[in-house]
Parts: sequence; C-alpha cells; structure tokens
Amino acid sequence: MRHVWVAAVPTTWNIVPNGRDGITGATFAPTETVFPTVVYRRFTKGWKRPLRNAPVANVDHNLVPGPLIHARVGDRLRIHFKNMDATLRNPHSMHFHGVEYAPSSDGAYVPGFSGRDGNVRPGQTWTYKLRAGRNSAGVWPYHDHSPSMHHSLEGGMWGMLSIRGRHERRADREFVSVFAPMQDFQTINGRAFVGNTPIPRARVGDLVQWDVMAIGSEHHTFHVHGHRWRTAAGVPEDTRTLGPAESFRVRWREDAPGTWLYHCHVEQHMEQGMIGIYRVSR
Amino acid sequence: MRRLPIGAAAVAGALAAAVPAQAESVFVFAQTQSFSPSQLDVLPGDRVIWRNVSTKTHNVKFETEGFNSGRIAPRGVANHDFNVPGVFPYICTIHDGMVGQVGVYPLVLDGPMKRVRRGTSVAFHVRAPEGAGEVRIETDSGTGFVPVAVAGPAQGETHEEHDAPGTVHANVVVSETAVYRAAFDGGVSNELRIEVTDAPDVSAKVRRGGRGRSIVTTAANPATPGARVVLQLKLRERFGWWPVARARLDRRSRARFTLRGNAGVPARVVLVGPDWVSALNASRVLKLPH
Repeated sequence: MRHVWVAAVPTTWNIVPNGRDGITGATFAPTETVFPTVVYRRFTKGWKRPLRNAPVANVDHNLVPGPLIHARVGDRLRIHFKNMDATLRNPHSMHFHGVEYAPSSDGAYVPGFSGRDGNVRPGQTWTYKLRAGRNSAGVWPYHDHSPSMHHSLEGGMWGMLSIRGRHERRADREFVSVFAPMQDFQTINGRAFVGNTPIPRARVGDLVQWDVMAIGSEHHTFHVHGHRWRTAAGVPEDTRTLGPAESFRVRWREDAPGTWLYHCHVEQHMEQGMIGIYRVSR
Repeated sequence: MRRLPIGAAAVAGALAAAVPAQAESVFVFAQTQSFSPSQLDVLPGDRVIWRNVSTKTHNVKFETEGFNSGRIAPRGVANHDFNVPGVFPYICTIHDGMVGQVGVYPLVLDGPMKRVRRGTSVAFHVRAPEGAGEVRIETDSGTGFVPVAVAGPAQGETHEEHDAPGTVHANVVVSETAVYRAAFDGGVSNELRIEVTDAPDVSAKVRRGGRGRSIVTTAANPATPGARVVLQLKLRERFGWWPVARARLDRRSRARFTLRGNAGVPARVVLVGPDWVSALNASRVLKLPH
C-alpha cells in the first residue's frame, strides 16, 4: 500500500520568471505573467509539512504540475487529499486516469450522483482508493474534476501518475512535460519560453523517460531535437501528437551530448512559449 | 544629448567634421529583432547613423520623412540628416515589430532613465543651439508646465569634456512623479517622465563562504524590516535573470543568502512587492566569487 498526502494550496504563479522570450527578445511585465491560483502540493503524513513536488526546486518550488505519483502494477494507492484553498474558497477534487477504483474514488462532480469525492470543500479531506491494475502500466493524468474544474485546470491543477509494469526497471531520469495553455501563453509545466520552461538534464548512458501529456482544449505535438524513439509497433519517430488528456511515455538510452530544444511543433504554440532546452552532458 | 553608446563616441567624433557645426552624429544599433535605442531625440541638423550589429539584413523606412535606407547588410550602416522639427516613426520592413522613432526638437533634454527615490536631486542635461539664451527646466505634475530651474554650464564636473558645445545642466529635487521639459524663447524640448518611488535603496555584498559557497548579504536603506527580497542570478541557460532564493528582511532590515557553485555568475538582489515578482528596486550587480 502506497500512501500519498496532497493538498490544494493557494499560490502566486509566474509563467515567465525571467520576463522574456529568450529567442525573439520580447519582454513581458509581471502584470502579464503573474496571477493567483491554486495548485496541488505534496505534504508529509497528516498534511503536517509541505514538501516540494519536484526534487529540483527553484524559488517557486515547482508547484506546477502536482506531485509525480509513482506506483507499480499490482500496487494499491491511498491518495489523501485536503482542500486548503483559503483564498478563492473553491471546492476541489482529484480525478485519476488509468487506474482502477470504485465510483466513490472517481473524484468527479455529478449533481445527484457523486459524493464528497467530487466536491471537497475548503478545509475538508477525502481519501481516494486506487489500484494499479493489469492495464495501468504507463503514465496518466490526474486533475481537478470538481465544480471548479475548468477554472482550476487553467490555473495548473493537474499532475501525473507514473506506473511501471511488474518487471519493469525504473528509468535513471524521468521528466514530466505537461503541455497546457495558461493565461495568454502556451506552457510546458506552467512556464513559457526557453529558460523558464523546465531544463531536463541527463548524462550519456542514462536511461531517460519522458512523461508527456496535454491538458486543455487543443492538440499538441511533442518533439525533441537530436533524438528518436520507437512506437509500440517498432517504428522510429521524433514527434508525437497528443489531444486533451492524452498521455504517453517514451524512453531512450541517452547517446547525444549537447543542449537541445524540445517543443510543441504547432508553430503558434511555440511562439507563445511551448519550447524549452534539454541538456545532456558526457 | 543622449549619451552615445560606448565605442560609438570616437566614430561619431570623426564623422562630425562632415556635418554642420554644432550638429552631432548619433548612433542607433540594429539588433536581431530591435533598434537600440528605439527612441532617440536630436537637434535639427543632427545626423542619425544606423549600424547593423546583427547577423540579419535590416532596413529603415520612414513613413513621413521620406527616407528609406534600402537594405543594410550585417556590419553595414545607413545615415540620415534631420533638419525639420517633428516626430518621425520608422520601421524595418523585413522584421515585423521592429520599430523606432526619431524626435527632432529645438532643445534636447536628457535625464535619469529609471525611477528615482523621492527627494533625490536629479541632474538634467540640455543640448541647445548656440546663442540660445536662457534655458529653463519646466515640470508638469498635472496642472500645466511651470519653471523649476534655470540650466547653466556645468560646474567643476568631469563629464563636461564629453558634452557637445551648448550643453547646459540643472539639478532639480524631485518630490513626485511628473513630466519634465526644457524651454527657451525658440521653443520646447522633448518631454521626460521621471517616476518617483518611495522604495528604499537595496545594497548587496558578496563574500566567499566555506566549501565553495558564496554568501550574499543585503540591506535596505532606509530600514524596512519585513520587506521582500529575491536573489537573482544571470544564467545562460535561463536566458536572463532567474530567481533562485527569496527572503524577508529581518528586524535590522537585513537578509542573507548562501549559495553553492555558480562561480563568476552575476547576481543581484531585487526588492519586490507582495506578489514576490514586481520589482521595486534592485541592488547593483555583483559577481559570485570563484
């Protein structure tokens, strides 16, 4: 049994911390890039102490996306959720893709049918009981599905489950890349433009895994320069399309040192910030 | 006059012989996607020289002045003499959004380009034609322009040697955000907006800590316990200034950051508003020790 403690917490998010598009030189004022929102944050047992969602932290503690939740096929999960949204005072929830659960752990709001799992009010808690089944290997989204879902999704209330097969080894490096619009930008993990978007790092020889998903109402394409991977049918590719809430993982053995671009190849999305750098050292 | 970019001054001096006495040559650099400076104010008779310092080809096309440079290849130049007062916007027709403007005024006023603290004595410099007579500094804080100082020759200042003939100076204590201009019998200058802030000054120092660490200490003057400060590093992979740590100033209006690595990287401390982002003031730039 794996226990994970998560809360919905208010924060102030900056989509472009360096204030600029490093490629075109365009600059942005804080009034265009900073906004109050609510995000998922990992906590210690009993929500005693907040933790970082990601191991490499910057000043914003990498609160978008929510914590990466790991499991293995056959595992049972208990996700203890608390709504600490004391500022906007909206209801929130957690709805998980890819795993098995009873309707009381669906986390979706359906008036007249759903229970508290889909409508956790400020100050309240709910424990979602999940099981990683035979068809759960892979990466999956989770997100708010409460009455405030649409507002929350635009503000970054989403994260990923990463479930390994029974005999599958863990990758040496695992990078989460969520393609989602935010305010007037197209973001990766809530950040826009090179330098602001995450900078994944690997060494030659590492087994790297990218967990990719799209949130919002648009399609995106995941493209990494200088690298290829194989589809389930064994065909090499370097670009893959995702629609809303679709997710996939790709793996490769790193053999290409250098600083590379990764981005959504919908050109308009690139221009609006959906682009980053990936650094591989020898 | 606008201060010439470093390195351009010598070239401008060599070219000055080709233009009428008093007139100056002022450089604009065409960069990859912008003109720098994008706004420029000159006296009638001045020559503006655009130098392409990027690897792209640019051009300079005016709508009203009737001047079109044609293609300016990388390292190429184009120039134009401005004789008639007015405001002349221009564009690069090759690069969308690459715009600039030349203002031609009978006087050119130069002053601080950033916010100043309330009560600061601000130095204004005015380029004026020969025999201009009395040049006044005027200010408008919402009720029309009123004179606040008379500009005169610099007194014992070292910057005098950089000034063109006819440059006069005035110091004005600023108490509120307002628009300033210079005026004489022959007309008025460009307008400068001086923004006044109450934000305290931020100072920062860096020293070497043990085991490859750097310790940055910061303080605000006047003392502002509880104020928010962010330590930023200028990182190549972040394409600019990047926040790496934040703190509230203690009771003695001080804060301390300890960092590992990043030897030789530029660092600064920024005083920020309640959103932890909007900059109110910044320290000078430090270099993290090796």
